[in-house]
Amino acid sequence: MTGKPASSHKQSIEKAIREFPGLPPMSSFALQHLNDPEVNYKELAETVRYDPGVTADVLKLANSASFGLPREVKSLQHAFAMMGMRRIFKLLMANTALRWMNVDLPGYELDPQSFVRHSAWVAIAAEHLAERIGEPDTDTCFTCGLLHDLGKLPMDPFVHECKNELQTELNTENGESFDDVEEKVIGMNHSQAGAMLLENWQLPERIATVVRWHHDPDQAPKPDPITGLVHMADLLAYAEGIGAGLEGTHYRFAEKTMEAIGLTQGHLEYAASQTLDRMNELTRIFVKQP
Amino acid sequence: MGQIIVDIAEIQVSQNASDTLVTYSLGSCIGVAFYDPFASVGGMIHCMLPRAKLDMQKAKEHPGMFVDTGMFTALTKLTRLGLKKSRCIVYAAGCARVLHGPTLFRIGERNQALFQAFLKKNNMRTAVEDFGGEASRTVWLDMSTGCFTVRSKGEKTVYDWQASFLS
Repeated sequence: MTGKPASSHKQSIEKAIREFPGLPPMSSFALQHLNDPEVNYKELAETVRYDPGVTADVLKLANSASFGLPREVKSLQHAFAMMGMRRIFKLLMANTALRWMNVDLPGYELDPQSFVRHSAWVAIAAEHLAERIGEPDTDTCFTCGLLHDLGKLPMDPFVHECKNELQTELNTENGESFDDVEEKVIGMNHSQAGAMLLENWQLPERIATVVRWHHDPDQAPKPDPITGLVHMADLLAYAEGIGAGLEGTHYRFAEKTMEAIGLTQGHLEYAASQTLDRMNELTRIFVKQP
Repeated sequence: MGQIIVDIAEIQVSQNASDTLVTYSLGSCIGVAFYDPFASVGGMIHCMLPRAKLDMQKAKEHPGMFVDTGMFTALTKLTRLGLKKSRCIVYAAGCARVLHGPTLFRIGERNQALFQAFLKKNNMRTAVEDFGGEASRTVWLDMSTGCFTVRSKGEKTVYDWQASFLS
């Protein structure tokens, strides 16, 4: 037991979020030009080259099934020219986030591979489900899925410090959702932390809002189908044993939102069958096997 | 030799007594271990979903993804190595009822039902079934003894086929 009140942790987490590294130049450039039809692809490709070692991974990612290019591309400029800004942003955010997620999170009991796998799974499955229900912005759905647990990065040391209290709360079996337990014990949960981090980076508001409500879409002030899809893809990952750590499967199921979206058991099982290979493909790019 | 990891949707077999087969974090997935003590042949599968008819192309690429093709393919491979169905010890675990309540997540129950129907049809029976609940499980098959170990909620339980036959 640490004995510290939740409010004092909250201030420390807010500080950790403010001090979290900013977006690398390439993602930041893509973000600034998200709605710019006149973007200079050569200049964009140059920003990637400033990050040593990244070019090869970005190319592998661009050529993966998740980006659906009609044929293999060999240069970044070429890849960008074929994609359009929205997809380029998705690509560069995926590169940044999956690289950062390739770490140990002892607090949440996630090894690097588990965190990368879980994030990739949720991105891919959410995008797949979006296509099935006719949600037009599938790229944003992918990005939201990818970033949904980003808040676990700044939160992890605090979760580690408070682990005994968190575990005691989880073991009471009163059906409380893990995000509520986090908030009660540490003063903030990983959804709130993730949203705050994305707001600091000035990512589109919709993405931060989806991340903020992904465990509790029924309570979101403005319903958004993407929040429901990310919620569902996340639960599907836990059901299939992809990336469950400290919290196990202690999460609520948002019935109201799910009813509104209208997914069936068949949709979910099919999504699971289509997600595995693509998840493994992305994981292999970022988690180097010995 | 040593530890052979059975990844999600995979099938692994072994004829080496110094091997241990392991599969991690079975949620609603099912992990099945096969062991023939006379032929010293064993195997393990980690299936995600019940029926291959969901996507026959995927089932061709990964027969271990589905319970029906996973069971069939594993037994075919093991039979080629000398395993006999009549003396095969079958252990199974997983099929957790992840997120109790919503009918959308009955994948575990559906995996379990299909697995049991498959065994019945093939005139086989299980030595151990450790199914249901809400916890994730990790399972091991020790090829030297044929013992099956299940770890769930931090606790390990070792199942010995010889004991289950004596009881």
